[in-house]
Amino acid sequence: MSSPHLLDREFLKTLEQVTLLCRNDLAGAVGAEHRSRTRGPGVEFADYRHYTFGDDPRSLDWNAYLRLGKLFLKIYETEQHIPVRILLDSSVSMDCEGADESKFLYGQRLAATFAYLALLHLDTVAVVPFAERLHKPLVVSGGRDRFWPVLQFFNGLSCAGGTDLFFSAKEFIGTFHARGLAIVISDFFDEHGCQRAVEMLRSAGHDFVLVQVHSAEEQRPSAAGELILEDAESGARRAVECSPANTQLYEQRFLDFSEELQRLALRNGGRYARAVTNIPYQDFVLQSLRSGRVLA
Amino acid sequence: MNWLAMSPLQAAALWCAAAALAVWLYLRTRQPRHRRVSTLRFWASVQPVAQPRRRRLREPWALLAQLLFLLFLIVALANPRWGDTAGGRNVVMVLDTSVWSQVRVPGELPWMDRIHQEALRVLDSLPTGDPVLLISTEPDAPPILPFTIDRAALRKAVAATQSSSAVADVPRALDMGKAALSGARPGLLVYVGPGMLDEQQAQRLDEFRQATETSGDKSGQPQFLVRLVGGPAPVQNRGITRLSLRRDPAQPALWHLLAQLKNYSQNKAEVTLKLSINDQALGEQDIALTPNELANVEQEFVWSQGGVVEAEITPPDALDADNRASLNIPSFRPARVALIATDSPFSNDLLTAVVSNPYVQAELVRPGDSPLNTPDVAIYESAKPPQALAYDSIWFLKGKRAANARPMRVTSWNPQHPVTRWIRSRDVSVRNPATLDALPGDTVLASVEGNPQLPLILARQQGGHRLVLVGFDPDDSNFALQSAFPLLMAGSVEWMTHSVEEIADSLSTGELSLPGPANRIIAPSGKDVPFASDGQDVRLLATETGMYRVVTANGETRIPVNVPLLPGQRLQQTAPESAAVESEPPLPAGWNVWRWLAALAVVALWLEWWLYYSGRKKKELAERWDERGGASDNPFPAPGETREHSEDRSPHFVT
Repeated sequence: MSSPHLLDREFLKTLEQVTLLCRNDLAGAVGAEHRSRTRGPGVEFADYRHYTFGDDPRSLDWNAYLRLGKLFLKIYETEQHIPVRILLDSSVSMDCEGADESKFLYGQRLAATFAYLALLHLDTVAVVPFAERLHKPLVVSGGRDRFWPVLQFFNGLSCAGGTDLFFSAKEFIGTFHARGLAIVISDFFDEHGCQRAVEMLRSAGHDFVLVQVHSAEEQRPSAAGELILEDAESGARRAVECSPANTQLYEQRFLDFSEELQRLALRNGGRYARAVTNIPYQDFVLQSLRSGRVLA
Repeated sequence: MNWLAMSPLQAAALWCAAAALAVWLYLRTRQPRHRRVSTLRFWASVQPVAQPRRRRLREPWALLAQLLFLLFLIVALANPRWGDTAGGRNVVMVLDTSVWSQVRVPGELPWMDRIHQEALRVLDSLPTGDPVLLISTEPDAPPILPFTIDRAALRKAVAATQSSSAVADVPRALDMGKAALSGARPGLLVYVGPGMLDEQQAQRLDEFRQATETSGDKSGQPQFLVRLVGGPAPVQNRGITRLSLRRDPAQPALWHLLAQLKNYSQNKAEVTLKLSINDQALGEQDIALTPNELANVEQEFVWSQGGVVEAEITPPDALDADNRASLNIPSFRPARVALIATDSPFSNDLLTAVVSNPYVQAELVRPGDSPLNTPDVAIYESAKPPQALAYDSIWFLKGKRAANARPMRVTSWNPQHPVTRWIRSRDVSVRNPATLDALPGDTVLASVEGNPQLPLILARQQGGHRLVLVGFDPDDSNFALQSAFPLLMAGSVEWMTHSVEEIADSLSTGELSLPGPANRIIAPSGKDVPFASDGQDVRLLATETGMYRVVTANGETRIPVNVPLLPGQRLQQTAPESAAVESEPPLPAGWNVWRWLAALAVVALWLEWWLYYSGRKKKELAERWDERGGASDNPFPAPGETREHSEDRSPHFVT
């Protein structure tokens, strides 16, 4: 069922035990497995209240009536469908360089994992590639049997263009009105910054997770000597000396950027995860995302 | 093993070249590389490179290891030895390939083949590490083969040696060999040959023996061995040692021949001398030779043309090369002289002086008449010379006659010119000399007193003819009565015609000087003979008997070369000289270190690989460990140590 290029079967079996976490104040269609603050038909008992005319007599607690002689109604928590939107960065910078595998492939693996988890729990999944603008999304629902179209969709994706997070977020808000879980998988190398895009997601009421994907080389360049660097997206060039001091300075700037991105997510009520492509994606999903309460 | 056996300088040069290449390759990796990155934003704070920086070595220790590898490898190829590296004993083998090696005794091997056998036998008795120099006994001959331990090349060189027709100079060859052996260690000097010496060579050989002290002991002198071929019995040989011809002074066509014969054996011999000219027999003569006799045989014959005189003695003997000899007979034609003069006392004296020369045919021609035969030389006396020269001529020019003219003495004669080279007289005086205008190119042969001296006789070359101008009236001079007069006439005629060769001598092998110039000289065997120009002559080393062809611009001349008088004494071998080759004392061979150097080179190569590749791998692993957020400073935990995923290693999460 799964593509051998993205997820392996053993990993999919492992995912049977994993749940995608989201905020419980999101409103969605009834019938899925996500707990919510909405009361209604369900299996999880929440509270009692006095019976009033018009209530469903099937919810009356007859045992309490026998003991107390009053009609009480049992109230349940309603389990809802949460729309899961996975925004995957498909700009050129995602497929530029990497020590073990490209960031784009790594991002595809993570996106496929999120999509499988959502389908597993009967949620609706929208895979939305973006670069300078939003590309045509794939919306799938109906359980795990619908995972195959997701993989085929990933196989058809390629990297092109630059990164414009704000414009893409703006289009995303305009396209997907209902609140849901938005997982943004990107390197976030946008020359204009990410702040406005993140604030837009927050203002639209989405629960969002920022997954920063980068390679080890991007954090600490291993090259030495003089290099002529070319920006994959803009084509700009710069000659630099890759000395230990300069490498240290570069790494510090990169960590500052990641920390700023983390603070941005925290400040706007979102979550943040940083994935390095030389770490197996299974480890990242099962350990890092679990411990980071993105998954449970 | 021999390897490349480079000199220290060659090894250093090779290592420098290889080291330069290695350094260049290490620096080459420092060329700026082009790399495509996701973003340049993190490089913004790094100072960009404005100008190309000085190149630095990336892995200096790896480079040092590689240089060491190259050094060890090249030094190993140079095959050095540790300690005293004295080689084998130097050996000089003197092969006597002189004319005596051509001896063929019926029923025995030719002596040249026996020389080959003896030489190879000596060669086989030598240790393989002894370098051997091969030289021959011919004077001025180059070494046959320089010092080498290549036994195959030595055997090939020995087998390729051939007999020459030159006379050996054995002591000189031995001196050469001894000089080649001069060094710290005593060597071995071996003579192989028939051992034929003349008296002078025998004396020099004794001196050589005294100096050598053939024991080869502590004095550092080489061991001297003699390997004679042919045994002690004298050789039965008779030979022609010389041929010479002398022209009769009165009859130019009459020749006196002198043949010199030598009996080299200890027995009486009867030989027959046969003479022929241009294959035309002149006669035979039986000659009895006593033991060791050098006999002269004289004969006369008349021959007016050129050709080759050949002499041969029979019966044949052990050495065939000296049984015949040949000699060129100079060609001769009398010079025709026309005396154009009126009948006068001086004309008669002049005619008498001219015809007294047997090599001249003179004719008196009256002015206005034509000579019967075209003359070689025309003498104009009391006759007006023609405007244009038709022949080589002698003009007598008269000056203006004055009544009270005093006699003027001839004060100088030109001794450099062929016409006047024999004239020294100072008793010649003339009266009323003619005024001769010397043209450029003229040679003044005689001058009379005066200030400055006036030219009296001039030599001139004009229009392809030669002219002698005599500027006085013979009747007004005492010149005709002087002995210088016929000398002047004879010198003039000779200068205008040619000199008559009165003697001819046979040429022998060895160093020859022939009249030149020559373009090419070809030996009787057909080989080109190298020669050196010495003025008008050419000098060459003739090692073959027979007819040499001297090619000149005007044609080709054939020069016969014969066997000279051969040395007849036999070398007396002493006991030490006939001993076997002394065994060499054990020599420190030196420790062969190339294996150790090769092992060191392998170690250096492995060290370079480890420093270059393993070091980089280690660095990459350390970087990965850091990227995964390793808590420990040690990126390589010990076996069994569990790597815990710390908070630093895991990506940051905010819930």
